[in-house]
Amino acid sequence: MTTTNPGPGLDVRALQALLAPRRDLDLMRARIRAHLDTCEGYVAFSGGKDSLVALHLTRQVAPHTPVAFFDSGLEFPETVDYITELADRWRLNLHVIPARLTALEIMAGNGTWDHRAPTRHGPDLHQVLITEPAAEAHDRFGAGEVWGVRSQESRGRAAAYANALRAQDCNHTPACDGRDRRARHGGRIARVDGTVALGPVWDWTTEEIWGYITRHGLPLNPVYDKLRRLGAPEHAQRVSAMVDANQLTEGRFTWLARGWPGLFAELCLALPRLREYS
Amino acid sequence: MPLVVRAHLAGGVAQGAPWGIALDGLLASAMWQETKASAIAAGQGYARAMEVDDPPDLDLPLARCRAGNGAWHWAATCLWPGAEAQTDAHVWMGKLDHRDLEHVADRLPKIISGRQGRFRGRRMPVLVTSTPQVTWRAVGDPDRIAELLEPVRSIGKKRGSGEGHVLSWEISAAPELDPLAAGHLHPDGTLGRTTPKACVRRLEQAGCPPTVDGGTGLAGLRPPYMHPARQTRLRLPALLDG
Repeated sequence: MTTTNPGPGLDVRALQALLAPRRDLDLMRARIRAHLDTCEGYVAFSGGKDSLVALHLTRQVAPHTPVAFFDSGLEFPETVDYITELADRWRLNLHVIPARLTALEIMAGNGTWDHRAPTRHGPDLHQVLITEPAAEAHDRFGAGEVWGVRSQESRGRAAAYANALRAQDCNHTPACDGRDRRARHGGRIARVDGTVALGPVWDWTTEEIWGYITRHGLPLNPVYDKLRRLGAPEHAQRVSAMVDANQLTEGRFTWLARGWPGLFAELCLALPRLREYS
Repeated sequence: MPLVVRAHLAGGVAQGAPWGIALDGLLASAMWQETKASAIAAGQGYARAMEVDDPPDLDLPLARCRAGNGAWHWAATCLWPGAEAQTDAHVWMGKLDHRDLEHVADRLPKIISGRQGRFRGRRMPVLVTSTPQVTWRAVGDPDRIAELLEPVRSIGKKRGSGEGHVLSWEISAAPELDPLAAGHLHPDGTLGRTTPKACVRRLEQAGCPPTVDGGTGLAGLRPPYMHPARQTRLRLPALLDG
């Protein structure tokens, strides 16, 4: 587990930490408290930087909130160690929820990753790795969820947050608008199944996330440091499952092959087409 | 005979793995070109190594290092870029060329997306080791090695884009080198190739244990390195990225 990584020369993240935060963190903490009081629930923690900030904010107002880690079975070895150490250091109420099938079983089973294997219809990766474990976590802990999902990550996520904000009722007088409306009502997504997710960092930029982490000296997943040392650009610094269908054409597996050669070779035995994207 | 192979490069070499290109792989590739060319000239077919379950071993001009339990490898290291070499992340991009598709197909669907599906564009990193020369150590026949390497004008990935251009080859006998070290270690004493544990023990017994290695993991023992039948759990070479 690493904190910050001051290398030679200018440490950009230290610089980001010096910038005055432009978020009303007291307001966000109060919203998290109210969200968990109303819905109960858990914090979804992936071991990544965004959910680390969401977890840190939540701990300040609800330190005993259950923390759920959805284990895809294809996590970086460092991530598993990191989460175990963090749970110990922060005394987290951690619950590891494994997927009923690992990501590798699903990907190897459907034949997509092997030209020689017949294509078979298998379970949907998102359903097994996210939807089902999340449903189990809601069953155990309540309808509420605090997560680190951000608008900047994808168009789909930005649209989901924008639509949710548009649908929010405001009972303040006068009614909130503009930046005030985003701060007081943004980041909350109510789903048709009755569950409600709150993203405390939903409209934060990547620089704000790094600034917060450095300012508070939060322990960071060592995978980030390793990827950065290998030369991976910001968008390629991902600590989610080692293999899934995201960012294939942006060289995600180039970094995997370079940083984790033994693991990559093992994965290629089960998923030979990985080499086409490395 | 222990020997040193040196390639003088125009700029550097692009590599996917975190260690250098293996000399035995390079020689096997050059020899396979010859074998393939003679098969075509004789009107015979040939099977690609990756398409057969147990690929044959070409008779490379290198000594064999027998590790025990029937396992063996060629006595040659991966390339060593020198202590001053730096790794740079370059980017290559691939985009669908509709005009080209029109030339090669008589009928095309109305829309071929460059954003999704098998023809989607790529923006991929390629890691380039910038260095004016790279070095291998080996035990073998320098004349035959020189003969095989002479036509090789570029090495590594993205050769078509100018990466890995070789200006000249230099193969010199190095009788002062210990053959065991020449077949396994880089000049700085770090582990220079994928190595069975038995070989590491032999190096330790000979008083030249590798100072650094890349840990243990699944890797190929001899060419064709990527063939599943050649993958086994080995000590990995020292990593380029430290």
